[in-house]
Amino acid sequence: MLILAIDTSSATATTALMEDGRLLAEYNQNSGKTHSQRLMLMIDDMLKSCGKKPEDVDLYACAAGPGSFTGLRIGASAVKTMAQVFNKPIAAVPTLDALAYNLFNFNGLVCPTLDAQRGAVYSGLYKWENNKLLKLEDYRVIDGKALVDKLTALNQQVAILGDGVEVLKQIDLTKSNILIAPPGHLQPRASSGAAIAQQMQENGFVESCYSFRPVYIRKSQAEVEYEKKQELTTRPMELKDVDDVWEIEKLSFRTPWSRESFVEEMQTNQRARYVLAELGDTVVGYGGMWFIVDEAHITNIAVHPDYRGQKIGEKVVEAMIAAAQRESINSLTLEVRVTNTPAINLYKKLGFDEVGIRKGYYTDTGEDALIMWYK
Amino acid sequence: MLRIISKSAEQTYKLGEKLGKNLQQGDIICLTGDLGAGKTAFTKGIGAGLDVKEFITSPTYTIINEYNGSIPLFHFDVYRLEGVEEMYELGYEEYFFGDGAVVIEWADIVKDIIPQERLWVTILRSNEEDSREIIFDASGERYQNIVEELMQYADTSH
Repeated sequence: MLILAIDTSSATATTALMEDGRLLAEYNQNSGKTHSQRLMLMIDDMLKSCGKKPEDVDLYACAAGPGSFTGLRIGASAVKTMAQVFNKPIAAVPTLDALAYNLFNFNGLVCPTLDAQRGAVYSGLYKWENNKLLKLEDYRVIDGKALVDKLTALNQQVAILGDGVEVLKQIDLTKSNILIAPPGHLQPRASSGAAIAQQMQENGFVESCYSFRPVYIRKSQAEVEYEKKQELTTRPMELKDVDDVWEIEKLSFRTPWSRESFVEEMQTNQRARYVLAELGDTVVGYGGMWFIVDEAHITNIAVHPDYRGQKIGEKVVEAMIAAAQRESINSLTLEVRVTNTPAINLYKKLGFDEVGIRKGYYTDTGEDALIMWYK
Repeated sequence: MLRIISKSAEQTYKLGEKLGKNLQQGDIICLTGDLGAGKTAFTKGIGAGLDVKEFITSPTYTIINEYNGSIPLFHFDVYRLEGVEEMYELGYEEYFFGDGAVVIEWADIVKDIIPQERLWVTILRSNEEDSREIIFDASGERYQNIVEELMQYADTSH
């Protein structure tokens, strides 16, 4: 059985000819995206140099995606046309599976990536077990930085490959558990696609030129909208924000302040300064303080429960320090429940020191308060 | 904002050519205006400015045409699109953030995905038969510089 495999899903154009499991030829070109001009010439040259004719091909293997939309379309239209003319089946080879196949039996995780523009990559996660490639995660579009964080958190050796590596390289990988595959394995290789296509053929997973279509993955509209709204900003609180803030107050504290107290803080308390954090147009956190002589006493800090764990508290405290400093107040103090370790750690990180304990400060539980100072 | 009156299709073309000469990788030019006002003539000019040798036609049915010049020229005509959703399906990001300059005819149809910094060109018919009003609206320093160059050109060519 003669398999003609192609992959034009990324910066590399690659074609291979495999006969009964033996690789006859493989052409790889990684010199810029001119796939539409190069692909048919590569196929023609490869077939001729192997003494084969187009009609000798029994099965077409085509990189089916994810990947560059344009690249996938070039490959799909070439393969669909040949398959239609010669009435032969097509194996739709998942691009990232084929990339992971480049690192046969690698002893660690394999993360193939393809450039998805604007700092994002298409990626998947695989491991080899008993000579079989196991897909651990579905294909996705993910921001390069987020992917590196995710892979680092896995705490085991991960090999990355594909043209998405160029995106990930913008992030410092030197101290991480992430390895970059060597040049010969780094880019898609049609021989990997051909090997997978052969297995697909044996398992009956081939299709006709009419049913074959590329798999485009892209950011969903929801994600795109979400990202637009993602930007976190801080600003001074105003009277119109009282309801939003009070909502967060109620969700955050066992003995919340009343709505009236916040109105009073805004309208009459000359000492009070409040800072808001907003994700897009949504108020997600706030912090308040009173300026007493040359010190700022932090009264309350809260982050909406739906938005915790996104370093919003940190942004709020930083904004409060900055707001105090703008008015030449360089010392800030606060009390925190001695059991509230995450908050204590956050304050320490931002430069607050523990200076003492107020016994039984919290009337609801009788808990002690830790006094902290920023100077 | 720069307003230029073009007296003929020839002048519209020349203006496009001047603009084309100043374009770089990643530049986004949005084109709107009356039907038959000369959007395609203007784009042909841009192509000439970018040393495109091929014949430029409006990609009304192909949506995107790609031309090889000093840098690639990606010519969109989004007239037939229903909205931005279809731009995502086309994989527009590969062109907008790719290695060429982008011209989008009927860009108002997909304005939600047009980057904040861009040059918006509106071509309007006027009362006189062949005369056109061409309005250049630049957003961002890069495009303001381009418009300034055009302004100097317009001053010297009339």
